Amino acid sequence: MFEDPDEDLVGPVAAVVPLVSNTSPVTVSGESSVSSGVSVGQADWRAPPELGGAFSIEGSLSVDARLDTRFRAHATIGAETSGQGFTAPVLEEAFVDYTLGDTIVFRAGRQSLSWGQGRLFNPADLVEDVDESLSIKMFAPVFGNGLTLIGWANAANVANATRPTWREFVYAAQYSGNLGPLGWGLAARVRRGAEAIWAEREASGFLRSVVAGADVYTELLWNSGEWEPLFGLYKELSDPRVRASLEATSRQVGAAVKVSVGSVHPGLRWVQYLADHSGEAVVGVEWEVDNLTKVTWGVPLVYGGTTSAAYREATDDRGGQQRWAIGVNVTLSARF
Amino acid sequence: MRLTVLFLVAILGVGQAWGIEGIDLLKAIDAQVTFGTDFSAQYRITQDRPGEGVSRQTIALFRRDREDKFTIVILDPPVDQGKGYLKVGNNLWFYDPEDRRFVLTSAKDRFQNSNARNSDFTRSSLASDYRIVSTRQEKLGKFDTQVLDLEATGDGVTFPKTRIWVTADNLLRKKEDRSLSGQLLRVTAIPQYQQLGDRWVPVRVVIADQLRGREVEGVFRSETTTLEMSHPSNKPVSDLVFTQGYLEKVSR
Repeated sequence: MFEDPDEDLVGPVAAVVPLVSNTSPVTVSGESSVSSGVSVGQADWRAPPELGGAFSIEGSLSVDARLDTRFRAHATIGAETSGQGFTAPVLEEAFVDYTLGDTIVFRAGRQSLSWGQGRLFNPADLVEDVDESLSIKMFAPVFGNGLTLIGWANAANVANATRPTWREFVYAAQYSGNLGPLGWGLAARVRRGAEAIWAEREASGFLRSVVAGADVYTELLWNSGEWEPLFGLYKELSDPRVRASLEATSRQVGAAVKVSVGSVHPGLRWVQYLADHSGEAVVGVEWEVDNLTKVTWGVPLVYGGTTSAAYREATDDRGGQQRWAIGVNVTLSARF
Repeated sequence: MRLTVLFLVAILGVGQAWGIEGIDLLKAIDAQVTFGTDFSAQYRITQDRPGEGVSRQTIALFRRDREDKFTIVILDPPVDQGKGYLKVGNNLWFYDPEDRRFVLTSAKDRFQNSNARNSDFTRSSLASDYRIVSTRQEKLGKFDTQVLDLEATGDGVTFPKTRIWVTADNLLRKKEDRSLSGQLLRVTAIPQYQQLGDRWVPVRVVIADQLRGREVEGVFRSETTTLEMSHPSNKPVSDLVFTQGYLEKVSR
């Protein structure tokens, strides 16, 4: 390679072609998956072990149109099996983007969004119900940082779905950036409230940084007078790839480790509720057989009384409580 | 006693002089490829896994070295289209349009499972990350080079030790990255650069992984990743490009 290399190039560079023209004719894409599995487990220590099985098919179809660098329309519908049939197709996303002056991006419609820093727990996700609503979002760089403003109205939370009032809308804002090695952000969510529609006031702030190669973060959520802190640590190692998380809030602590060795990914996840000392530990292995096929083996174990928070959360595929289980699942999935 | 003191002063003096000279050299190498303006280019990334075939990706890279920011948008293949990376200071986010969420990732991690690392796309920071422990002259093909053995001064870098071959114009031509124990991890070759304004950008970068590969017909062949640059530009880029909002905008 160095015996007879090409000469370094000097002189004028050819005219630049826009790298990300963000225009394309209408594109259709989608994904589908078929999953089947068996498991054996116990609903309670005194109950006999039960054999169970599961089968599901999921699919989604997306249409995307970007006929102008400033404009984009996108819609995704999805459906999945339910009992012996399929659910009615659900409009998962349907929105329009408009970019003003190559600086401010507006998005209106049904959209997915997630805030908050947590990986195991995310109490500060102030926009978790946006994907159930129609919303308008604006994003703009402000003083080198990012400002997001969003407003939405959930049909379930308005007195008259055809004529919601401004008091029934939820408004949220997030401003985040970096100060040297420190990442920071502030967010808030408010709803003025009306008769039969309660008022909401939430705010959060976070700081994060990289210490000794680990991502260290803290976030504080304020919700109508109550405080909930989050502390977390995330570390990645390469060769083999190891991803480890450790998080704690005022209500829960948890840890997760996932190792990737070739196509095999063993992992462990543990969560404990501080109030009643109940919790759940899950050990599992995921094997990517090929680019279409994945086999998953897992053992969840729940500890704590039958009235504990962990036990109430632990449900099997049929919605019943589950103390422990051993299961294996095969999934075929593809994107087009 | 006096002789010992003089000897020690001489050694310290030489060491200090070399330290200053070494830093200046590393700064000069960094300066050759660091842009005071914005930089953008398209890269074709070819991943060759012996026995498994060749995969290709096309990405758009936007860099703002003065603010230590970059944005990467994956343009091709369609299954990865819309995924992106945003680095601002020490924070590197990966955006997966499937989840519509930004996940903090590591600069040390492999870029899209290739032999390149996320840190390969950041601005050069040899002067702040390494110190020179030895140097010599060596012929590298048709290039006359100075070979520098470097050790990391902190643990924030991807490779604790590295050896670089630098031509007289302060352009890095070859790099051998090593572990703390000295094990050779990968070899990077940059045979050609392109001038852009008063700075230079590699036209072609070949990375050979010394740990990953396969025996083919009795010979160990390394996995290699080749990065081929095209459409370079030092024109200003909108501030929006270096934000999470931009990745959401251009994603699927």
